[in-house]
Amino acid sequence: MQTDIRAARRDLLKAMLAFGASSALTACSKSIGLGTFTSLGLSDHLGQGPADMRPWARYPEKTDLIMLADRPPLLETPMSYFMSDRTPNDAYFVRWHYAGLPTHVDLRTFRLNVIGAVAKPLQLSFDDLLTKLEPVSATVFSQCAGNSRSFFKPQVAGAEWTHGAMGNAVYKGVRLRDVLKMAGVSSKAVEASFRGLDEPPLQSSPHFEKPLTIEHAMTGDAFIAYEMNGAPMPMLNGFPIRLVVPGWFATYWVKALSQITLRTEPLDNFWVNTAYRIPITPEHTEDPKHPSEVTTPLTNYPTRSIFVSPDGSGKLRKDVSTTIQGIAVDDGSGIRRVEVSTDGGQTWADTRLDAVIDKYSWRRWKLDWKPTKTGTCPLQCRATNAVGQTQPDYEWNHGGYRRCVIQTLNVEVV
Amino acid sequence: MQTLRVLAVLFLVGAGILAYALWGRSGREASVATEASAPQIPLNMLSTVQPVKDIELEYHMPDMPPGPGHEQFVTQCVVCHSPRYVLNQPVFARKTWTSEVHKMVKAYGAPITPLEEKDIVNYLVSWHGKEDAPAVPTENNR
Repeated sequence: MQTDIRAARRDLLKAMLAFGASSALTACSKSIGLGTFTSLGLSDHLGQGPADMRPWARYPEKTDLIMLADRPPLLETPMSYFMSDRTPNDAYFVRWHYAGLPTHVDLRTFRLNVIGAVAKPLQLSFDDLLTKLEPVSATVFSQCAGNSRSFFKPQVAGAEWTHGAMGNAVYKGVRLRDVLKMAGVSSKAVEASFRGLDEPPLQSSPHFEKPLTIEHAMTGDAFIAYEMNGAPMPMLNGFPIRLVVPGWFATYWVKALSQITLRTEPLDNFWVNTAYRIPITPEHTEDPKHPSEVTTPLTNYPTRSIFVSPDGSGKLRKDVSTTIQGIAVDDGSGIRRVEVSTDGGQTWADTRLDAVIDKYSWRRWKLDWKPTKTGTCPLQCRATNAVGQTQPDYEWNHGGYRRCVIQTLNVEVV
Repeated sequence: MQTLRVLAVLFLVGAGILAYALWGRSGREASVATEASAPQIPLNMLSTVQPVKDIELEYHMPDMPPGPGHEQFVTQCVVCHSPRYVLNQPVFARKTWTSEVHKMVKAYGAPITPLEEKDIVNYLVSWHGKEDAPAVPTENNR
């Protein structure tokens, strides 16, 4: 562990030397925290990645990731990993609310408790899940509710992710509804709510817990995963089991899931009533000067496309053909079209869509493009799904959630 | 003769770059190989063969600038989370820092007195914030 980190730092130092000149040039306004920090003449003990000024760190079972925070860890996946359709476990983004995240799990004593409005409360072991219920498997996209938050203008408080608080992985586990049926859900139950092994730092802090309606839990595609990309889950991604809610934001994908409560009254806590809420307005957008009074919990993914390559860090050459590629996602209805504009939105060209991987997976798209003039060129991408949902030209909300505005990526052509 | 000398120099530079690249690659591949070579236990044997997973989190705490409010910040804020939760934020106006600090009291139950709240906000504004903009917008001056 120690040597790993030292080796990582050494590699980063090497990368810094190699990329010294370019990172100095790309140290732009995006480098919020650290920029201020170093300008004050204070020391940060970590090396920095070549792409921007944010520090990188290597956590247990993880590779070098962009570190937004260390305790509790917020780790972002570098864009290069999104060139393949499975995001490796060690590169998968990490987000915990509280420093009291689980660091020690013993499968001999670990139990998933199903309690509340049920005929028979359950205490399921890891092996019970493996042997007593039918396994299911799916490739599913997950995305933090605040993914891409740093691009909101004006900027809002919260984890300042770029586009790397997301990933696509194959999960294996058991259907949520099968577990609930095993417990025998009361007809009075209106919600199932989910808790993990993470503990709040103070007695007075609200335990992280998120609900799904009983209809969603009993008829939807949610499942409890014990395997990620063919391996046990990394601790930081929810070992030993986590909830997977396909098509819904990762805030519902409770990690290290240890308790399911069937409720006859809706869950009333900070995580439902205050956090993770968006305005009830068209496109869920609001005026920064007059934020909306009426909000609703965010739920499923809006239709969205993101550039993966180029990523804006390098330069393209005039009259040399390049392949622009990216990913597109929606709530599971199905991506049907992704268009790219290379002239600031005046004209749009259809991209080639890769084959569908799975219902709730992302879908990859590509377009060959030969720049014909030098200078800064704004690339834009716009996805449309099977029910005609597409992307807005403008959006803002006070939580910096659910970003889905058409992405503009400025590339330098020389 | 001149051409030969130029070619030789180019060759040496090229060989140097190649050697550096290979050296870097071999190191990386070696470290990846060590990780991948760890035997993977079938999931149905995990609870008998290797039932315990244990990780140790190493924190990367940055130094915090001294100044009025530093002590209150360390006592009341860093007890729950790293100072990076300030560092990773934009340079906010006093109004935003005031509401962020108050959120810690109201939503997360931090036992911070109103007086301490004020000290902490002043401390944050002093090195990672700015005073509120005047009522008349001056956006075009920036």
